[in-house]
Amino acid sequence: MSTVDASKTSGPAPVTDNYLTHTRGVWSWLFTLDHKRIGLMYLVSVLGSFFLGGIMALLVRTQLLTPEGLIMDQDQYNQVFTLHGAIMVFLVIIPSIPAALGNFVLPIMLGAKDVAFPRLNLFSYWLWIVGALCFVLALFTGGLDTGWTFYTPYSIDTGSAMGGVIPALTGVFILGFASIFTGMNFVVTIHRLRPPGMTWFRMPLFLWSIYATAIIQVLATPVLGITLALLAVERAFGIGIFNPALGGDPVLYQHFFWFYSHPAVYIMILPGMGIISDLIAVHSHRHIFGYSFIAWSSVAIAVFSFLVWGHHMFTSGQSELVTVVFSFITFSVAIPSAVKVFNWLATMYKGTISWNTPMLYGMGFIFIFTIGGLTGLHLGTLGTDVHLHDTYFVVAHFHYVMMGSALIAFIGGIHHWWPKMTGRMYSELWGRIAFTLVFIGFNLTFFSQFMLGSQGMPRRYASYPEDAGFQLYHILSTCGSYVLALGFFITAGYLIQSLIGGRRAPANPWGGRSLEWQCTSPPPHDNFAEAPTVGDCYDFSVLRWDENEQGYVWREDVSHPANEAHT
Amino acid sequence: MPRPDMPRPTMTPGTDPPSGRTGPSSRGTGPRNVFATEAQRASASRFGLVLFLITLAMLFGAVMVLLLVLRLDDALWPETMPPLPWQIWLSTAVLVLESAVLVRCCRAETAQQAKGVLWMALALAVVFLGSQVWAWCTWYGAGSPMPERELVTSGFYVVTGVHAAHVLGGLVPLGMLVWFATGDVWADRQRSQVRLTSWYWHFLDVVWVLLVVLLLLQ
Repeated sequence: MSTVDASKTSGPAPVTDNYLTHTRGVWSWLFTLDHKRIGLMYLVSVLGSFFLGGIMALLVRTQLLTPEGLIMDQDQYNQVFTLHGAIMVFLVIIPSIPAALGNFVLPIMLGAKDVAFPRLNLFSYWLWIVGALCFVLALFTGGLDTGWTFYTPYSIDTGSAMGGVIPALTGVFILGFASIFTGMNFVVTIHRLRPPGMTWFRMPLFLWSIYATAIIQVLATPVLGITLALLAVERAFGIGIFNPALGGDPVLYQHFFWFYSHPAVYIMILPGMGIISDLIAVHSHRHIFGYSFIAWSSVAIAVFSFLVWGHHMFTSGQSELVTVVFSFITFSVAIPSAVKVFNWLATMYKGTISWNTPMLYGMGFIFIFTIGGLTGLHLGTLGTDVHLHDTYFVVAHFHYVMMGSALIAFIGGIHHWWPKMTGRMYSELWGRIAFTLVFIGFNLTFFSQFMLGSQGMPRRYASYPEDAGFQLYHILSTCGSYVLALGFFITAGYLIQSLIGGRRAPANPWGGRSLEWQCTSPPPHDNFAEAPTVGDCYDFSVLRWDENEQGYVWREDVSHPANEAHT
Repeated sequence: MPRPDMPRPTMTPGTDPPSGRTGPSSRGTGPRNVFATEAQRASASRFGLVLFLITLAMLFGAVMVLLLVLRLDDALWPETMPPLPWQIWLSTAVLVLESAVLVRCCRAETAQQAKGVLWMALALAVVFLGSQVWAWCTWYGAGSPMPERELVTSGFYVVTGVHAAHVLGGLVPLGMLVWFATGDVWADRQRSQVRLTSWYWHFLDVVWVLLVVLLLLQ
């Protein structure tokens, strides 16, 4: 009776045709319309930028080992931290999860063959490349020292001879449109390409978070685009919109910038939260707790994200009333964030937790994000923010959220979907070792910065007084950054090694139930021959571990939804 | 065993014939048939365009807010606004006409019918841009007597320039449609495209009127 369609869930993978081997040659990659290949190209490009931004970070940390600065003069330091910030924000974290992992996973999770607009998808990838090249151009035309926020009047001070400002602004503008087009594509895809049976509240939570993110991308990014375009025009022609010397308003620039850039923080963290929702459930083998709460909290965060930008400007001279209002709304972001954390913990409670590398990153995320989120409250509080504003406390806070949370979720997601993307398993042992290094290194690097900030060390300084007691924390932080870097190099090492010598991945190595685990690893060119049948993507009770397969397969005593659909 | 050149079915029965945009390429990297029917694909395209227009609305919204903020601050603005160049009325008329012509384009059933109106739409768009350039030249001439009010003069260029950039971009889909119509290709896909293109131009029309109103505010 139970002629269970085993190939649906497992498939011992002697499949000849997959998306990696479907066509060959460089052109078949560069001009592919396949979302999986585009996702993979994004992944490689983003990780390349991450390497570059990471080197900048190490330079910054090395400089601060000694009070007078170890390796650079102050102008070089300004350029290095600016590039570190700009590269990490615009080239790494913003495209990391949506463009790289999202592109790969989203259509498969929907049982679709591709995103709604494959050409637009390729176009946004190439826009990304052009944007990235603008950054390279900025490096060779004199660099920039404005900080990643391009605050006026630094950015319009033509006396500083920073020829790289306009290329970098152009780059961010173009990257912005790459991000907008990706967002549009995902919104339409999720609306129009869900398979029969997948209602909104049966989607994997990753898709909810990607959806919320895409809405922010579509609504907020154009404002940044026009602001930076105006800034470029202003710098080139001396128009004076943001220049007080010509009658303009520099605080207006800050309003416009943060109207995008605060939502952008949620562009970074929301997809991370989505990944973690899936990682925690799959690796705990337990139904996600409070599905609709997690889904709605993503939407709530997206909505709140548009109402809190003023908390970046408490000390910029906005009116007290506005400041108080922004402070209150900022606190309210804590509610949906906490809802998620509690739901993840409740999911793990009494779950059967597999200590796989992705799960380690998932738990690391919860730990780090909790610290990052709670320290946000100190900064949202007016009284403490006046003290902590522009100190290392802020630096530590946003690294806990943007790096320790968003990026850790990205790395966790890479580990989670690596078998699916490449068809190979990586070394679990090395995965755990690397995670331990990353986790310890991260906390060492940035927790010490909370101490520095609360004691008054300002951010963006190339040197500091010898007798202020800062040096010990700086040394700890720098050592932490080296440990962190070691962790990432080891990660790169074993992931690359897995491509050559890794064990073949089964279709479902972790026991996931969303649709991407139903096709082979790596997936065939068209993902699914026919639209797959959808069940509850968090009901793991229907799967069992198969020793031969070294992966999870459908239980023989449970009817497969595909069979039910046919009867 | 790789199958480099194996053709795959890309069209379901009942859809339009390929019109130069679909069909498998020789490398096998052509677009997949993501949607089951052409109607679904067209509907998704409309949805995508609406999202894009929302994006542009945010962009122009930011420009308008910028203009208002600078405008409402007495310290930044002179008591009397210098008169706007008269050419903006020409531009307004041309753009309204453009919208009307595009409404006609949407009704075209055949390539023959479409060709004439599309050329007219393209010509009007170019005339609009010409009129804008003329307005800038006039403004440049008038701008010299008020050097201490840099922001007033330059604000006009910025606001109209951002709009003109989008008009320039709008020439691309218009040009493509003209190309299709001239090549006698006028299927459901083109009819859908001309509709989307007209939406974009109506949007630019509305934005332009709002910008003119804001510029006129004393």
